[in-house]
Amino acid sequence: MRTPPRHTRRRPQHPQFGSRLINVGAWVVSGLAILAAIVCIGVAAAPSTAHAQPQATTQIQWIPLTSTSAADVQAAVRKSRLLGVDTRGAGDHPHDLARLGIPIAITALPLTGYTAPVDSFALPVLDAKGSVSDVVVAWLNPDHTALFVGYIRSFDVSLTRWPSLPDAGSASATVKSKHGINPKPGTQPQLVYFPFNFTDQWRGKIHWTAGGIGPDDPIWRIAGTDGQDHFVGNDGQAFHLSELPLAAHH
Amino acid sequence: MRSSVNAPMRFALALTIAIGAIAVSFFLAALLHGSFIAPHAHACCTGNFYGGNTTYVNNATQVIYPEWQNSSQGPTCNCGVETAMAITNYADQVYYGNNTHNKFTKQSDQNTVDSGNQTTTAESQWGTPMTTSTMSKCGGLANISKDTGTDPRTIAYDAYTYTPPGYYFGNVIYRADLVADHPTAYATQVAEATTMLAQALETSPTGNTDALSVSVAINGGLHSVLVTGIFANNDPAANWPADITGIVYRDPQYAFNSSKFTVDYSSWAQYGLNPYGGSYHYSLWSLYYGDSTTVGDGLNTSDPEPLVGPYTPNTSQGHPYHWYHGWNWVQRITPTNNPDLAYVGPYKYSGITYPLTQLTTP
Repeated sequence: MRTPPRHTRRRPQHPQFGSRLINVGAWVVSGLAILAAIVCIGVAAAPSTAHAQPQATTQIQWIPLTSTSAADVQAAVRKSRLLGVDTRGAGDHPHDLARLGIPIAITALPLTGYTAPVDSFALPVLDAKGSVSDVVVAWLNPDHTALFVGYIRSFDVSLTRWPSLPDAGSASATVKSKHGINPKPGTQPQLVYFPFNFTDQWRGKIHWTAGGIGPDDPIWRIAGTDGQDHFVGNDGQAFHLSELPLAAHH
Repeated sequence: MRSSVNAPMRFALALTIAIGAIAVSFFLAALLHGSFIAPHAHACCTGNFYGGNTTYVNNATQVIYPEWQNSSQGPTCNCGVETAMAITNYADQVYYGNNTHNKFTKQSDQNTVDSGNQTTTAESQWGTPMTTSTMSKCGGLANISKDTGTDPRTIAYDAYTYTPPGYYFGNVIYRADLVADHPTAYATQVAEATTMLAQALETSPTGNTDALSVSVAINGGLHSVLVTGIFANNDPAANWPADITGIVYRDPQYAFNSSKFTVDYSSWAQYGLNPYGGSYHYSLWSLYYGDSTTVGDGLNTSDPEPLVGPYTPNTSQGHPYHWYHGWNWVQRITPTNNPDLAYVGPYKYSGITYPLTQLTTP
């Protein structure tokens, strides 16, 4: 026995009218889509208009921070547009930003009279062998609730150690031996950068290579029992605050 | 004749055509906007790279960076000279096809280039702004301003002098009054200037594919860096201004292996590299050339305007600025251009291509 087609039982009372309605609707949708396509192509092909405005990338990309835990900082940094650039090929750019290391807090050295001390996180980027190929610098907003990835410093020959500084214990020992000062009890050495006098460096008036210029190249700050700050640079030398080449403040 | 395709099938067919049309439209739109011009373009990225080769740049800078120190001269201000030397070494590799003919092979070669201004034969055709004894010790050939270090025109002349035959370099200037749309907003101006700079990295005027680096004055003119590439979401040669996301440069104050900085576009144009104490401390292009602490102040006394030659500012002739109130850099130009002159362009605006054009002389 032949089984009747199932749809014959479900066909509505005015099957031809319904079918036509569906057909017409479908072709209307199709036509609108093609029209949209033509408009889309036309807009794309149009030349740049007068007084074109800069693109959205002009805006500083502040990325909210859930917390300052390592995982949350890494997650926020990964959302930045600078971490999303195309790193493939032999161009002169960072080559592999996949392995973000543990974020290190680099504090702006607090100084009287200077505006806009901006704390930061610096994140080493590791190569396949675990050496440091780049350092990502993320600036923090005043409340430390958002960050902005400002720049990446790259090392085409990876570093086995970053920051290139003595460890905290050695830095404290250096301050004791060079300045005769012990660390203040209850304090820990802190990684800092300071407002460097770039102008005098570029004018050839000074030649500073001990670090502290930016978060990618910090120095140690050690609070002494004399109530003063002491510093140890990447050259292993100890410095007083007065010896740091600070920018003139305005 | 009755169709053998039922209504739901027809609807599905029409829907498929609609979706297909939309997909094709998006593809063509992207193509026309240049998103797909770079070989590495794909959905993953917030910028395709336009610029030079890492190995070439490393070879060019490895033995000459950082700024040279010696006991008799003390600290130096060789950043501009170093960028011209790095451009030369890069061009040598392209020209000779290997790394064995680089013109500059040691840090102390910076002194050789520095001292180019110590003889009258090295003067610009426009003359010299000061006596030999008062010249900047980091000057190089053919200074036209009383610069503490070296001036942009000099960097162009240095690069032209030391590179192999057929390589010509010129000082290119962006000021709002020099381009067709005359934008008034600083943000638009810096976006357009960066787009023009990007084109210098993207294409060679001689038709070669080598993307020679560009010497760029930053921080109000106080510093020069070697810009080796940019990242952009669309083609800088076809979009004005382009959607640039990052800039890569080599800072001559560091050894080659720690000299590479990739900065976010908003750092370049607005925030500065290091904001502590005010972004002007390392302002990149958040200040015009000649500025000190605020946009347009023109108070940078270390990098003054030209003092000799046709580009010396002359307000009464309607020529109040040359380098000031804009940005400038040194890039490869064609043999028909003259390294002693200044240029603007190329750029494409409102469907019209404006070629590299010599600035009119008063």
